[in-house]
Amino acid sequence: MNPLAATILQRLAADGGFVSGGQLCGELRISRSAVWKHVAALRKSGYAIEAVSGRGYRLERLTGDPVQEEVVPLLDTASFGRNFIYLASTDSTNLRARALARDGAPEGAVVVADSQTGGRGRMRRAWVSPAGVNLYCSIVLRPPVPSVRVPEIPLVAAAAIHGAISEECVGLSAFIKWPNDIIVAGRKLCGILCEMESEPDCTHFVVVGFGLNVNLDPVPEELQSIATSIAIETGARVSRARLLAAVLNRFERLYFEWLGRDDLSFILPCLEAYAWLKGHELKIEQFNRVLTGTEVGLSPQGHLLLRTADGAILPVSSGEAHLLPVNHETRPA
Amino acid sequence: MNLKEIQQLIEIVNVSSLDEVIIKDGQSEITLRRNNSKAQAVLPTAPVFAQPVQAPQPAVRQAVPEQPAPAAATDLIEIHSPIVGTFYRSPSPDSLPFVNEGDKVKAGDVLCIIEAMKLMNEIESEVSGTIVEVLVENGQPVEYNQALYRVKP
Repeated sequence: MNPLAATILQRLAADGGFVSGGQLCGELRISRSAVWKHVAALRKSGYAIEAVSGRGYRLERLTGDPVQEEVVPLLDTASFGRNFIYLASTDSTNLRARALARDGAPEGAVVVADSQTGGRGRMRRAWVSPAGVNLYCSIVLRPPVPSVRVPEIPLVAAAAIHGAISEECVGLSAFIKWPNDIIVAGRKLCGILCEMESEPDCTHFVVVGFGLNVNLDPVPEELQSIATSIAIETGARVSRARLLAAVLNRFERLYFEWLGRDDLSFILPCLEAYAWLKGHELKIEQFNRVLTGTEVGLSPQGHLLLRTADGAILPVSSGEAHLLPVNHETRPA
Repeated sequence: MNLKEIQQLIEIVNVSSLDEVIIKDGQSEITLRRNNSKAQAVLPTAPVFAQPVQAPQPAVRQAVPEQPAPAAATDLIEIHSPIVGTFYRSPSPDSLPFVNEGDKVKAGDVLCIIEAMKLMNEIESEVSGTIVEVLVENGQPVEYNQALYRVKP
């Protein structure tokens, strides 16, 4: 977006009522016809701007697209989202964010895409990323903590995204599936992929990427049994800009707090209260073995604590957790 | 203090007129001493590492060769795991390993992934050279600082 057009948009969004053409000319030091030209461009990109002779311009509504002009005015952060890159389409926001981080992008830098052509999760699994409906976002972090603490970040991100979704979407009952999936009614709403580049004693950066199904409706048929969206669950469309701002605001607060702590103890109550696997019989598939047992909580480092058949408590740090079928009837509603 | 910082430190001391620098940083301590005597010809102005006084961070220990003499075995550089996690030799279960024994790698090439709590940590080679040995089986849990590869620079 042209910077002058962006300024006009922000001015109109902040005011809410009519702003006269003369006022905009004075503030931006441009001509009336230039103001008109930028308003025309804004309308072309989907902004409903009313123009009334003698009163000026008024923004009827925002598009809700996760663009800088709509997200940044809603931020209360110090660094998250202050460096904001929006791409109409890209291969993968994590790849873009990692490239930017290698080139020195600061902590809190954000890459958002309207669509991804190579959206992916762990182990290069594909993440369906159509345009105009969802959030695909990656955040650069440079945590000044020993590298052994860095694997706690996926759980901080999950707590932040879960909190933001729950706050913005009243009535949505979301859970956190250890360690960092957001689940509604047993289906995935949001996936998080954290990637780190480091040397043995020095973390260069961490990229926290997430794909959040917002207004996607319907979910592609082949994914309907495992994926869902906010629109499907609540019947309401949500502003992606508002949701992204809520995530960034909450994530920065939790992340800064986490930096000052020794572990995840401060968010364990939240992680455990919304734990999808809580207290259930599980099967955890690891690379070449399968663990079974009962979930009995989380360690302060975020390990899943599994009580095995012999009564031992095993801290688990990797693997795919599955509920054993017998427990589906007793899932929380 | 990491290897880069130590190298920078050596450069700073190198161009200075200081004979000795002692840096205490948390639990590690490093002494850089200039060798001004007859060794001048062999090591022109190069400072010499003294042993760190206290147990340093692992990387510092690596960066400070105990004895320069016995060549063969210590020629190999070990790549260590920065976190506790699971070791993966390939980017996905159905793709080829990043590297095999005998492969030539450049500094910065990805050698493997260590995963913990779904955080994927791509481990890059610190040096250019040849992979001499892969020390961990695919999918095995690894400990902090466990050796993963031996590389001949």
